[in-house]
Amino acid sequence: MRPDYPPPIPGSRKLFCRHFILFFLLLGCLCSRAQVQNISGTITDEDGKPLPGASITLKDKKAGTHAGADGSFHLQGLSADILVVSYAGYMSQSQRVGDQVEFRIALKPGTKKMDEVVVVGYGRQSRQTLTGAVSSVDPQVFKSAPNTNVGTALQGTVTGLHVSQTTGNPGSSPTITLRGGTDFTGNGTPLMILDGVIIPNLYGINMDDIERIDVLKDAGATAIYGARAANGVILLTTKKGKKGRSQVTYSYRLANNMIRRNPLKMLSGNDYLLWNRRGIGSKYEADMADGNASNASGDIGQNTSGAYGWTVAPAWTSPIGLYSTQLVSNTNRQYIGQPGWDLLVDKNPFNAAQTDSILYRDIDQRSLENLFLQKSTEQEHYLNFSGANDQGAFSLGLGAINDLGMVVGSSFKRINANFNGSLNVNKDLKVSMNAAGYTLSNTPSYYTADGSNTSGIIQRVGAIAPTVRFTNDTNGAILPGASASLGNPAYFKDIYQDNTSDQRYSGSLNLEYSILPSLTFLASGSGYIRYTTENKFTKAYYASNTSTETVTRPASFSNTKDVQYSYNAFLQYDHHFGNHHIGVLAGGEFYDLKEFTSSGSGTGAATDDIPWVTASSTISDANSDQPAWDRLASAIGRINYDYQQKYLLTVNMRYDGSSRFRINTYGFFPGITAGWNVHKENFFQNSPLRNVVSTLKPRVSYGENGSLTFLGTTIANSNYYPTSQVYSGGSVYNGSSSLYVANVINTALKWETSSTLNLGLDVGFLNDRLSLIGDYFIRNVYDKLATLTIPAWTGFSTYTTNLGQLQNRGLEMELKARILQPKTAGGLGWNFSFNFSTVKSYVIKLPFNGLPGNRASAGSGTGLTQVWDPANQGQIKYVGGLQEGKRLGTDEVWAPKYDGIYTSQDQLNKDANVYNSYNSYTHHTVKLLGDARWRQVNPNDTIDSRQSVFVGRTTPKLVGGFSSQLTWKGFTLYGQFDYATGFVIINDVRQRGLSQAQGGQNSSIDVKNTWSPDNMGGTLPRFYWYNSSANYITSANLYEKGDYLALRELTISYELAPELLRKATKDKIRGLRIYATGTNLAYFTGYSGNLPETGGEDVGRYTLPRTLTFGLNVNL
Amino acid sequence: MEVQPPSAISKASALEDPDVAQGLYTGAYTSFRGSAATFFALGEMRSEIWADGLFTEAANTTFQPLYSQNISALKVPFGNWGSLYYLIYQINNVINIFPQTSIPVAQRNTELAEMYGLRAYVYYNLLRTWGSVPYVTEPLAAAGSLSALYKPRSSPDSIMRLIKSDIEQSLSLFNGSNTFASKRVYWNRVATLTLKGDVYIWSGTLMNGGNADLTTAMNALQEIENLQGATLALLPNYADIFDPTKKTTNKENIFAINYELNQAQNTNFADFRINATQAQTVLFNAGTSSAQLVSVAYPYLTNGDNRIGMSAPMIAKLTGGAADQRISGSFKVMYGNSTGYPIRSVMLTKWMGRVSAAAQLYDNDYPIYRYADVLLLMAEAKAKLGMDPSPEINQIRQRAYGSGYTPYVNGSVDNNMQAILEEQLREFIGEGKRWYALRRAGDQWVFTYINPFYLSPATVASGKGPTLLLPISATMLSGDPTLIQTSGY
Repeated sequence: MRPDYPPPIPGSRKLFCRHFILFFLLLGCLCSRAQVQNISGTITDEDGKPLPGASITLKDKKAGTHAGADGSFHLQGLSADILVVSYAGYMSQSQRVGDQVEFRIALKPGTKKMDEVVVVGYGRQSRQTLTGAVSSVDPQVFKSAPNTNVGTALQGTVTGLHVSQTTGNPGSSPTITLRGGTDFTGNGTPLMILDGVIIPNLYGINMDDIERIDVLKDAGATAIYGARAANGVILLTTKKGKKGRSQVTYSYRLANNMIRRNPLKMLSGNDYLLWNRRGIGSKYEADMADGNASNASGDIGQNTSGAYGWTVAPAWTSPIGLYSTQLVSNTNRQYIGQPGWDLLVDKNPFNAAQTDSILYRDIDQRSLENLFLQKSTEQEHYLNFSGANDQGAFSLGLGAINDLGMVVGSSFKRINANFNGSLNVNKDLKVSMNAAGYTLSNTPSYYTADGSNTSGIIQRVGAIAPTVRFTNDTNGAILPGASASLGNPAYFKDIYQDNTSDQRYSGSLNLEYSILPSLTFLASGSGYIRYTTENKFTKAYYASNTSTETVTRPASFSNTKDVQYSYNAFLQYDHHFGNHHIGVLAGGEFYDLKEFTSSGSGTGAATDDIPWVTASSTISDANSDQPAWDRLASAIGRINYDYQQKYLLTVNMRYDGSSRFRINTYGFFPGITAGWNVHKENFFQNSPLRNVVSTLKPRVSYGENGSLTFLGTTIANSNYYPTSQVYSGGSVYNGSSSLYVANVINTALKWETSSTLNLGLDVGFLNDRLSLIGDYFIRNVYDKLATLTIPAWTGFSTYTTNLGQLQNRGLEMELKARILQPKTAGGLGWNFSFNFSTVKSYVIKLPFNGLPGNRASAGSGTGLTQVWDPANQGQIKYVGGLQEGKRLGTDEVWAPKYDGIYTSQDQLNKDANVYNSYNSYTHHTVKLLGDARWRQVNPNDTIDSRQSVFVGRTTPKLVGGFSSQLTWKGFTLYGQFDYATGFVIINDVRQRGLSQAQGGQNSSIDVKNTWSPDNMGGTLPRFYWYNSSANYITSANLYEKGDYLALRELTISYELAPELLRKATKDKIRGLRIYATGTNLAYFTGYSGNLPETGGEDVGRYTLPRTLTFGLNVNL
Repeated sequence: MEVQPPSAISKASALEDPDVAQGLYTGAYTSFRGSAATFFALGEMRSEIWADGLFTEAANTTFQPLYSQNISALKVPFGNWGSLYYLIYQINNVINIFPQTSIPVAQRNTELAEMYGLRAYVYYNLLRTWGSVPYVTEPLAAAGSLSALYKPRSSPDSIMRLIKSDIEQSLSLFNGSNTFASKRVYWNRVATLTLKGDVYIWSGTLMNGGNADLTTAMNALQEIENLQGATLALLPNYADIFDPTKKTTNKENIFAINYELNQAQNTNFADFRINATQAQTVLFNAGTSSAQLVSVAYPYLTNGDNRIGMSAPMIAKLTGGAADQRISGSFKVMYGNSTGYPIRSVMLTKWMGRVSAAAQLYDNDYPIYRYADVLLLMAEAKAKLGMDPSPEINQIRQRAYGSGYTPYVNGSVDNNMQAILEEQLREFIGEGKRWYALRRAGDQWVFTYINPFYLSPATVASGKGPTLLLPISATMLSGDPTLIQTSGY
């Protein structure tokens, strides 16, 4: 199915070879002769392909020869001689002659060069003749680091891809966006293809099975995948057998996940009490100023009986009260001075003349984190058998992974097998197959780690009141705390069971029949079946310290089955006419996906021992459905043409029909790319420039793609049947089942098309020691499939339609340098690579709606905002959302901003009439010393959302990465970094603490820098209980820059010299590599949280652990 | 190439299969239930009941702007018409499809009569909240061009005509039958008559309908009063009206929204309760022999928060005076568990459901109309017509205070109205009626009961709001250039 283009030998390199050969021939002349024996053999590359013209010499002698067309050579030499084999582009290799007379020497390729072969979709192509924008992932990145998700290997290594990890949950897939994405939300996940089979995501794929990853980026290249390739294509190729001796490879990794703690420091128990008492005192003062005696008395009530960690509610004196805070009395006086107990003597918040003595237990931040964060390990085993000969090839990979997460309860397990086999039935017919099976098992943390800003243990438990009581005062027994999200991890970690298992089977059969030497018939069929099962159970438990036992024991299951088939067949023609080379591929493909779901739940099991629905006494829900059926029929074609490999032209075409459209079913997606290998021109060869510039290839491409990603993001009727009016099942009413219309359809929906103009340049310097690949692109997305807000009278808020035009413009660059190149195997080598990409998205056209710029919202949370225009006093302007001719506004952040605080009565008097619509007082003009002095863009004495200023964007301006690899003898030192800059992020843990959003949570030590009558040097606005003065609403002041540089990987490895190893082990072990790798070692960032990779709202994320891995590869 | 949605049902199948059509009919009720929280909030949260309340956690940010009348063109509650047109779509769809189905004519007519009644009720809510709203009586078949979807607001008079015409259509299709289902959770003829009374008092008072409309209202309500007896009457025990175990013997309810285990629970009042943690530090009946921790009284309390409450003066007003079973049947005061037992808040206990299988089950039906509505509407119609409303007021008082109640004696129109509004306040706490009752009574009554700092003739005249109606949001205005802002904002 994949035609292999033999790597051509470039002319410049031929010249280089000749010098080499001459040199060794001269050396050879100096040798004397004695006990001469005949030596013969073949020189091949790693794949067993002959290397004609390779030079074979005897060290320190003049004698030497070249390999013939089949790679074979004959030579005479002594047993003491050392054979030196070299070939341009490969590492030279030495071997003692000894008694051996027949040699099979496979050369390892030298450091990667531009003349690599890349996978381009339904085929392969040499980079020499490639004209599209295709990036290949440096295989170094999947060699050492733990591999629970392949997506992480793309981070910082592929220019044009923005990969960010949003959670450290084991196995999780990162968010991947190509070139700014084709969605108005800035999203755009590439199409992923594993050995020709479309896969839904990268979750669960074994990185050790992967031979290479290629990313098709421009439409000239992706047009071959037509309808779904607008966001690019990630092609994953698994390992195939290689000619030469059959191999057995075993690798093992032991990874230690270290705890990454929250860099944001929280208040101690003492400060927590002190500042919350000041906070309620401030609210009391404001309520009095507001003339609201009722609220003011409520504030006093809060202190004495509110259920928060800082209050002195009588309930807290119980040895099992939720919190430990209590006024000293005769019944608890004995605790003073006892270990674990602390005393705070503080003035009463409402009556400065009164002093309160408060007794409390204190848990520090580190001890608290230790309850839900754990140091854990991951283990990986991988075994591969492979080999190939003239009859066929095989490769069988077996892998097993067991990863325990950093947050208690989270884990990931995987066992997989991947088999690739091919059989050359005769010289014309080749049959190959792939069979793969995976079983995965995944459990989340014991309770949602990072659900939203109002749930999630990272934020909630991580900021629990330090006065919380997690053990019984008298007997030390573990207590549950207040609730799962605010409770004691030591208690709740065993209550919830939630396991998702995933079984996948995929298989494909490929047939390659050579009808004529230049005409080949290719056909393949593949199937992909995926079963996902989630089982949940909650044991009987105590919801809080003092509650009665909850014995409902809910159990549930949810099954999903995806069945996907695809078939294709092609005729391939490939012929050279003199200097012309033409390749034609034409055929068709059919794709069919069905999804089936079933689920059920029940409650009332009698015991914790049967965590299944079967034990439930009440079955409350049972459901089965086929929510998706998707078909795609396509005609596919490609023409490659080159003249002497100088002038290159590729045309890709695809005609796609989707079952999702009723009227406009089909779409045609062509792509054309052209390139010019300037360095192969005679005029260039003759110019002095060629001594410096070894490759010069300008490229241009233009192509069109379709996209359904907008429709297919989730499995739902509206996505798969968007042009058929369907009724959905509603909830039961008085025992009767119900139906309702869930959405309004648009029968005229059609393909969204995107066209990309890509201008690229490949430049190589000094025999490609330094190579540069640059691309500039303009992608226009027409007939954008999007949700459009429609008037509410229709009964619906949005409908799906083809609207307007979006444009992405960007630049991407990758640089690779062999700063030092080893002259011989084992010499010192230093490779460096660097890449960056930047993209901006513009709204070009929107449906006419009579408003300026036809402005519109792009769904919830990304709507238009009205703000005062600083340039035109008193005028309103619209920002964010979608407006013609402007940059995409959906990732813009607009928020109010304060310019310092009120520090004098004069300042307060001056602003006495300023109305703050955000505060919660009856008189919105109430303000006290220390309150934020909000900026008035329009000085109209009213603070509302219109006074907002531009804060930044949540998507980075610039993303990229760089890596460095040093090699010497068997040692390799490899470091890989990635970075993103130019985006903003807000730390919810910090904001919610400063605003005391839960009434009793802990706050960051920033609070100690807030202004208070007792802290008049404080520079931050005054801290109020429940943020009553609204000083800590989401403001520009609380947003932070997200800019980061991550040290993603640092590896040191040692590979034993093969000759020594063979000798020592009598040829039993042919290769041995040991290494140590650090992953996610450090973020260099000014951000206060612990996972800066994704902009916008950081709800308190499950961060990535620092991982230290020890690994071993053995090759038998 | 074509695939048929395998698990979904299309319009064609609704026309062929009466069971599918019946599913859509039930779907209209499900959607109606889905809007219950909106009906409640629109009808009550701008009233004085919950204004300046005490609560133990942060304020409910949906409700706070309503009771503090913090409403402006920038602060727009219930954007997109409170999503009520989604419900109207489902009702219109049934009205559109039913005549073409093979459902037996008698059943079809009754069910269509219910749909017309429901639609009139929904439009009545829209009218009372926004005044003029889009006029929609057909379901949108498919959406094409955006500009074809623009629709301006229709005048209040035309919306009122639609409501009245739907009421007549409903009455005509019910064909005189006043039967109730065993659980009164379907719209019925008596509900249409009650709505008719309600609507005509409104148009009589606020839309120049005058005495003619008030008389129409009185006649419709009189027809219901004539039914009083074995199937329709006040229940002697106020709490029984809401008791989930007594649904089938409830002869006070006329139409209530149904909530059942494993179908849907009434979770709309979570913020009127308290969370399990807070419940451990507050008491009911503090300082008395029956003092009890709230967490002990409600051991299975879940999904509750205390974000809405009553002010101390409101609590004093409602709990002072003679023992009123409507107050004890509606809410309980929660006190701090420390010296002086300060009032912390109230808990709305009307919708607390019951304990079932060691869990709190919130399955109280939520009445839209009950017989007490009929009596107080009748009293209001009579008062406004200069007649004596005391028979109805006294029926209400007798049930509330027992046989020793203080009878009301007919007085001036204003005295009568005030007496009616005082009973109305106590009778319907948490039932989504108070704001509408003040509005229907007349603008002067709104300004009498609502804190003038929040809402006064001056703010109404200011042009910046708030007025008695709600504004529409900037998003709505920018999504449809034919829409114009509610006057006064």
